[in-house]
Amino acid sequence: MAELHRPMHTLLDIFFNPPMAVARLGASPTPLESFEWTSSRAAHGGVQTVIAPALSFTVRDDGSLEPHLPKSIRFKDDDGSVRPVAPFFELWGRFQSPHDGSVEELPLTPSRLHELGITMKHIAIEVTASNFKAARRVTDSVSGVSDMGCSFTARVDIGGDDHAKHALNAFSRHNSGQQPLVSPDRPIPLGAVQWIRPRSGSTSHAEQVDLSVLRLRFTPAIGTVYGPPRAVVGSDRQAITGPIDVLQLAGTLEGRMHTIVPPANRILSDATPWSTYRMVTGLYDDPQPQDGYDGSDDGDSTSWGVVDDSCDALITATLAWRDQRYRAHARVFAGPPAFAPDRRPFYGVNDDLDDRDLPLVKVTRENFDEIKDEVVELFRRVFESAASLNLDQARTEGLQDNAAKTAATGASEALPATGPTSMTRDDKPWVDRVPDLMPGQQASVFSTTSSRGDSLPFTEVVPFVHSQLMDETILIDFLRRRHMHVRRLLRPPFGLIGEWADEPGPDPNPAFRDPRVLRDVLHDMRMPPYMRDAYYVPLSLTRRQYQMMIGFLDLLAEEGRTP
Amino acid sequence: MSAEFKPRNRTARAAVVGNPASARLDASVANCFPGLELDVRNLEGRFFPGLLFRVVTAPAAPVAQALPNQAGIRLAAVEWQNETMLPERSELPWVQTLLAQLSGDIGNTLSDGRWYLQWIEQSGKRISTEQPNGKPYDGETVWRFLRSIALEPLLTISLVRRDASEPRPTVQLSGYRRRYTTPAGVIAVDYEPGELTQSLCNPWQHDFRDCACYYWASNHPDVVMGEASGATIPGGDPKDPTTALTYLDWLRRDRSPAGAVAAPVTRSAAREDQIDHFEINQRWQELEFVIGGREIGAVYTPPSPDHAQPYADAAEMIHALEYELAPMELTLALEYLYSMFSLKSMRELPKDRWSTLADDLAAVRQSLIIVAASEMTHLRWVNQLLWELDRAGFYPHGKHYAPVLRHSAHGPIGLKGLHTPGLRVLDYEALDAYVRVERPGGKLDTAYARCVATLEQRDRYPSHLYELAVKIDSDGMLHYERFREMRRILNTYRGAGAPWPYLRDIRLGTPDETKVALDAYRSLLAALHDAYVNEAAQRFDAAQVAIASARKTMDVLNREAEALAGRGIGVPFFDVK
Repeated sequence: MAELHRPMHTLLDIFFNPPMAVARLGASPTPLESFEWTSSRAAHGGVQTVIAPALSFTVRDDGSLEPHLPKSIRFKDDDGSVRPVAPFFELWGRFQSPHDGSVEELPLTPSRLHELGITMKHIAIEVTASNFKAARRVTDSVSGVSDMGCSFTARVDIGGDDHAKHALNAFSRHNSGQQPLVSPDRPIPLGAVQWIRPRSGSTSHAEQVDLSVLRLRFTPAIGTVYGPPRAVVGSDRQAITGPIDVLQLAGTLEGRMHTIVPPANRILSDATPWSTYRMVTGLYDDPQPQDGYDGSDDGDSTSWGVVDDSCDALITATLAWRDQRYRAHARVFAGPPAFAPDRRPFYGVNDDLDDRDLPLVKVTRENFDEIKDEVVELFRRVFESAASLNLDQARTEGLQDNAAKTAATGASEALPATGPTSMTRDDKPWVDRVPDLMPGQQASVFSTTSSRGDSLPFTEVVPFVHSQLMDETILIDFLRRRHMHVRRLLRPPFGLIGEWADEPGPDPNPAFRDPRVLRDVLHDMRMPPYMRDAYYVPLSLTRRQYQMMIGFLDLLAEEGRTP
Repeated sequence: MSAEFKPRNRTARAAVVGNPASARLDASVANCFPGLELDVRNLEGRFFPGLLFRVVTAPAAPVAQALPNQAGIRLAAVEWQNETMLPERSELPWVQTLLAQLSGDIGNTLSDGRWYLQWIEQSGKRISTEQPNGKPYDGETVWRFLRSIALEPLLTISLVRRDASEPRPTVQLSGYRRRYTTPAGVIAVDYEPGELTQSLCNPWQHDFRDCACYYWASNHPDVVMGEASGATIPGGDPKDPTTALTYLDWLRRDRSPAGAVAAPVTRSAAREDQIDHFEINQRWQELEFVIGGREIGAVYTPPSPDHAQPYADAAEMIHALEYELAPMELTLALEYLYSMFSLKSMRELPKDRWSTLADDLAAVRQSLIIVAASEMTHLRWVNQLLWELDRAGFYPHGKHYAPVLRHSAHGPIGLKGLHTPGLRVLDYEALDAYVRVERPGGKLDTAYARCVATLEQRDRYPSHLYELAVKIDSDGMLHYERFREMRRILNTYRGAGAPWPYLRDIRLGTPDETKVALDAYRSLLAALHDAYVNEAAQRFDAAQVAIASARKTMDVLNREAEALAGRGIGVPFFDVK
């Protein structure tokens, strides 16, 4: 009877933390240990982002976790196998407090389930992992239907008290008229999932982590390729080409020869449309980029029928409480390693998602400090991306892209140059430090001062210019002094449909871009320079990042605040 | 997790114990063509509730039986069942209207034939997917249209059936654009597993070899420094200066020392020596992990923090900055500039021998430009550190910041015993002297390390001062490596004996001979003085005017000094106190 009167939380919802994560392929059986980003404390570190080992888990034989803090991070085993990133997902709940009705977010644990009057058996896990890449390519242009017989999927159901590791062995779904690419008898392993056994009682690192939290671990595949029996050896052209391979180079076989698929992996069917696919023929609704498959660069660009073991997966947890079913979803994307783990992109997947769904950022006096932190963070990420960029190559390619579209234009007050004078002394008033640091650069799409001992002159300049802007004090002073210049130098993002003209004219709008306006899709030295985005046109910051920067610059100009 | 790297919202919320930072979404590059972990463009395929679209590009080499007129945004399927934005019990009128349309005749109509998006209307604007000449915009362009649709207000789309005779039937539908992530931070379940990665390259290794976006260098570097596998200097850089400074192509096939050459300047030049398609399928795990821009072996061990002796107090540190470090920066900048002007120009090189000299001189000159510019930057930063210390209240009582723009070439100031200041040509003695003064662990380096150690006491000093000191301290490492590399390059000509083939014959000029240059130098110092005073007082517009003036004056000085050097005359910078 006492139990009936004991106040208890009301479960409102369940969710995963993180809701989405990236798994990274690797052949090692040992997952990569954990690390976090932090600022260098070394005297020669220069305010850079570094990685620091963080609390990591080993999964014990019984499916529970053993925490430890590594002293170093091993990225590869001694045999060269890369250690995969196998992320954990915690299951949490939103609860209504019995005392004041407020909402709390708390991780689910066996004791919290007990408080609700349920057990681990009231939870079920479902994981579906799929690779649709080949199916997407062989989308018939007449019917518009993708041949899903060329996709492959793995699905597992796990009971709440099942803590074994479950392999994700994928094969092709198909209808009775289709040929499956991957047979269920010889599936492609896409990794594994394990519903971790919670541990309570005294454990090591107890003050830092609660091992009784309900967790699932996704382990990706090893990063190999599969193909039909004929995918043995192929030759690869040395030229940089693309869709024109089909037109100009069809039938030519040249270049070094290599094994395509290891012998043990030549297990796929050769009787599907994937084995006869060719790009740009009009027979299929090709994805973009069209030439992103094995076979595109040799012979007549017929596919070798090769697939990889990457995937994206949906994880669903279902919990039954009282008479209701609660569901939580998480997603994981399995891709290649992050080979420079201390370097962070300035345009991440999170930024791309936020830009679609969140409102623009309004910069005010009240949120100035928070925005300042965001701006400093953005510039640090810019350095981290720019520091390993071959700007010489990027500039040459960007200007060559322009030349293929239209005649070059020189610089004006309104717009920078799009031709050989781009980012040179003559690209005024846009160019700043480069002429001082590279006085010999001529007007050319190529780096004319490249020489032995200094082969990448533009690339050399990048860290000099951008590393200075990693320091908050220096950066804010720079922005305050050069706010007009920085405003002008930021390439505007594409606008919204509601901002565009019904019929655009030739002149770009200075506040936003329109993909129908030719000048808006030409490369120039505005920031970020010479980089291509997802639509193969010049990259800009997201709309949110851009508006945040403009708002911040406006406030600095208006107030001259100190940091 | 480090508090300064907190994820900012739910989609970036991957800060759970046990996950490396590279598992986070903000560790993955986006807006890519097409991407590595997922292709976010696939979200736009379901921008309109109940419909699945696919973007098609005009085929570049269509075969005879290919359909005409394929480019555009093609309707792939009508999928209203289980559509999370169209719950059957919704009370929203637009939802019920759309459900009725898609589950009824309109849905049936759209399920037969080749239907394409004809126009999109939102906020009073109607954007056609056809160009003014009637031809459809191509796939890459129209995909961008979908990306530019806002969450609100209500959207109307028109679809046209292209495989019908004229007049081609059209259908209009209204609804709200999909919100792609749920409040829980996960992409809506309307997207099947596999759908978000379907347009990535196949295999992914193919793209890894090829991709031409250039800004994923944070995950897939273009250029790197080689691994420090032998002797190293403090900080971990290789002792060999060429290895320390040469940018390698990260995708090089030959990962032995035979492949450790400078990355080529164009993509086509780089191609031959890069790992091939097919080959990368098997060898991708040989690609090196990179930390701090440098390839590492299998294991990364964080360096131990350095612990220099802090100064006794702020006053001692300020004195060192004012009387030793700032003057030393200006002194070195002037010495390096003078040395740079002592190098022959391309016109002065012999044509019948020393064929390597042109390239070597270009590399050395470029390095000196960067180092000299860097020293001037250090001078500014030291002054900035001083005015920030004043602003934060650390100056001794009764004293305030005043710009430090004097050299230490005369008198008792300077780093005695370490370096004897002098305006010298870039002979081998000079190179040795420059290597010594910039040596990590040397007195100059130690002096800054002491500043860092002093300001690291967070309970006494604001954090932004520490970061500024670290910035100045860390830059010096690169100067040391550059001078060692310059020495290595110019050692090629040591056997010729003096006069060295790369050097001009320069003597120190008289004030009269060098009046224009010296006047420019004085103007430069005056402009810098104004700039620093104004910045310290937070008069930023005035500071920028002064800095712009300083840069223009620097141009004048460079031209005049180069012209004088061509006539064998060096500028006596140290005459200006």
